[in-house]
Amino acid sequence: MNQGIIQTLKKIVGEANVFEQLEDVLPYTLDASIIYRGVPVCVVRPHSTEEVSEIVKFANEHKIPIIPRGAGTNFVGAVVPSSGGIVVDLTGMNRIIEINPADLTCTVEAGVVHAKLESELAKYGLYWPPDPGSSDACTMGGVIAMNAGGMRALKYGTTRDWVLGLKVVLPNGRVIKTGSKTLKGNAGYDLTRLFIGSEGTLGIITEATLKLRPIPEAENRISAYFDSIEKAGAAVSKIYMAGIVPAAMELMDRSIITAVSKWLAKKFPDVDAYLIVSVDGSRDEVEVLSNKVERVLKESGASQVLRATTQEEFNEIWLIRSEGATALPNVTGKMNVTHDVCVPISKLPEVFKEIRNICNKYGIPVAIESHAGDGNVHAIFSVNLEDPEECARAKKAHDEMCRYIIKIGGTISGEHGIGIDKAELLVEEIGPISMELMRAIKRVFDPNNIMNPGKMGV
Amino acid sequence: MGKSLNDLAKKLQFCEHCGFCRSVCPFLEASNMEESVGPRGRKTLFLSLFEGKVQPTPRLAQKFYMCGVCRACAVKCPQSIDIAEVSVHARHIIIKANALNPFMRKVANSLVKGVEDGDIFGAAATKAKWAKNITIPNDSGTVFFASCMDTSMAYGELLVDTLENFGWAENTLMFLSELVQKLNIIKFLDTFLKRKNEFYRKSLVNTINLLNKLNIRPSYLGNDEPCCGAALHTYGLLDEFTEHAKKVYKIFKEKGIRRLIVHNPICGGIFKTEYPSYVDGWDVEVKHVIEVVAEAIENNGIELQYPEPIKVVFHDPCYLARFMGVVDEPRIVLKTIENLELIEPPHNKRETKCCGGGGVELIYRDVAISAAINRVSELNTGNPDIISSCCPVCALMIKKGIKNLKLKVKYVDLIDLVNNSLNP
Repeated sequence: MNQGIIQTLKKIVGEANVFEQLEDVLPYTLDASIIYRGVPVCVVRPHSTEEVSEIVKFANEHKIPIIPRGAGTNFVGAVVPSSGGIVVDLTGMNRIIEINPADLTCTVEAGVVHAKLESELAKYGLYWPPDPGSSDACTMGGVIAMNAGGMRALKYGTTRDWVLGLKVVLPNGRVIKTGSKTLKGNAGYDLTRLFIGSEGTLGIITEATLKLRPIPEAENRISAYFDSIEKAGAAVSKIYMAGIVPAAMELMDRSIITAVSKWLAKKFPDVDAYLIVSVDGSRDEVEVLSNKVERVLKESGASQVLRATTQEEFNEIWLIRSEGATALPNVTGKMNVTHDVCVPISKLPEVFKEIRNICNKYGIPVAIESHAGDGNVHAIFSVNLEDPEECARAKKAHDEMCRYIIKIGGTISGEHGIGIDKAELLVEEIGPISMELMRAIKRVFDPNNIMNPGKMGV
Repeated sequence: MGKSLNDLAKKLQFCEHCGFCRSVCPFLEASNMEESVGPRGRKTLFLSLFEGKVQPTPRLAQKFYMCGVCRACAVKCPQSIDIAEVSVHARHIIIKANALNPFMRKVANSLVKGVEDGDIFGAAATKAKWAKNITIPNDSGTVFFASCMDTSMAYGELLVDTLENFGWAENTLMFLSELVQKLNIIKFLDTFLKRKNEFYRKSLVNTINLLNKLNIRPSYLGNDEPCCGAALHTYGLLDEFTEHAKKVYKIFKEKGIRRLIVHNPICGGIFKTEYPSYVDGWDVEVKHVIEVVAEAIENNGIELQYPEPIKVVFHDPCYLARFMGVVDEPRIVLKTIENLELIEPPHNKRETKCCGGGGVELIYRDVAISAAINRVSELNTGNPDIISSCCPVCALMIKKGIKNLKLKVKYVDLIDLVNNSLNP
């Protein structure tokens, strides 16, 4: 059977683009979730939508699972071939098809790397606002399929707000175009947004038309130390109430501050939390906003507020944010397992407290990093992945945390998605009726359940 | 000696699979981003090999030999994991399991013999020829290490050119190369390669001239100069490298050598970063000639002026920037030269991008040429008159990139540029 599959695929994409030996496919058995694994029958690397369509048509006829894959940088096992099947690696489809500065749009193939697109757009003074942390590696197809967020989401929204149209290969191999190249569109059901965040379960996105913006003229950062993380959380709401919409608000807790301090052998104030507020706009605007932010942070009980006045200070303020993920494993000797939840911002203070309580209960060290401005919280568990008992405890802590988040009106994923990781928990958040509706939608698109099976609970 | 596999595997457990290494690997880019030949793929494969989940095979060898050991991944990695080191150790395991294909085995044998004879291209008989017209003292504790790659790179270029054109007969070509050495017709070949030899060897003459101008008079070991063994190390011939490194150190000690000045940063990098872990008590100071020149400029000041106005882009060799840690000195020197406008390429200093060499050019020629074209395209973005660097392999690959792209820009060695800027 497998040899038959491979022969057909070779006819479609050419011999050099089908990989079947163990040495070839092992690197495709995992993604940045690390803990989930699955071995595919083969990996195929198409270079056009037509090839993708032929592959999918063939797989659908023979009911073989298809796992669309970009750079595999997601945290939830979304591209792990857990049911075997054919991994469709789209990283070879990496052309920027067009950039239209006058229309504020661009069209890209799925395999274009986010950072590469950013640097090409910068040549026109333009940018695509969503800024996932994985920018250097992640591909636009992955960004869209996972509805990636980023730090600028509080002001600019997530991927879903910045995609105008898609080219998609449906699970029966037919190719559709959704949306339009216009900045507005209101023609029928919003299929574009249905595909965004569908995690490869409804079809393969091969091209996307994106909405762009001019790069803001200026940006500045203001940082503040707080003696309690609850106080820092409360400061976030106060910034909005003062009439300010920052470009980013990033919060790091004591564990991260301490780890970075040890890792870089650098002294930071002995505090419980560190908040960075970033503002952007015209030069004048940034000046006014920086003043306001500085004042509000001081009024919110920050023990020390620093406003960048030079490029060095601008970079220095970011240090705890940029080095946190590197410092933690080096200091704890354990792996970072990053979990992603989102809550109403007014709940941040109690959420920080409760996450620490839950992790304490299970003996799992936790560091909190938060895109606090939109209530998105990343609880970074330090786990020894070689120890099954510890992994089981970490899983319990994770599930309890998610259930608590659902209870207080939050969501189990702000930006990382569901994948395998939260497939069982999704129904607890959205309820059985919505879950059934999602499964019904999945059946309409993919009656044979070939597209990325086992993901998202559908 | 060397680093333990257990330590390496343990360090790899910290890899978060973020994929940032994918963004900087020149060979992954040249392979259109196919995961299994990129640094992150190699990490997964190495752990699988270490845990016995995959066996050493020629197919597996391909993944690890499509790495130029340039260390761009190590600089980019948030955890500073050095996949170049992973490649080297995986190659060692593969070699020990006798899992190389016949051509790669032939290359291995040829390297072992070459290093032992004192010249990796088998041209030991002609390697000191460049110095025959210059007077060099032979009693200084400081030695100019000329490097067989610099003295004999013309043979390397001939081999790479021939393989590039007649790759389908790679085994026969390796046989012919052995035959040339056996029949001892190297001296004849040397004359045949006159122009190519001059291109590489003149930088050595210029190095001595420049050092003398700065009142530094190092000695030179001539035919007694051993090969540093860098090729053994990168090829994964670690047992042979360990033995060889000890021998080299013994020679240095016997001759009372305390300090080496290199022109080829590959030798410099290996001496500086690998010898300390393979040789007990390694205590030889190693400097690149550009460090010495920069020091002299900072201390005494030298007037340098290029004969006509030129625009130069400097390409940091991986071994100079990431192994030797030398990034400011070439700029200090180049900025001193009047008439010379220095431009920085997109990837520079520690973030420099490999020229496509690193051994890949011998085995996976197409991938290496693609990588060279990618790098030269970037180097050419500011429309320079000259691309300058100071590594024989970079010189070879940059020339190939220029030729493939049909560009007007010329390659000139850094030391040649400085030497040409000395007031007569």
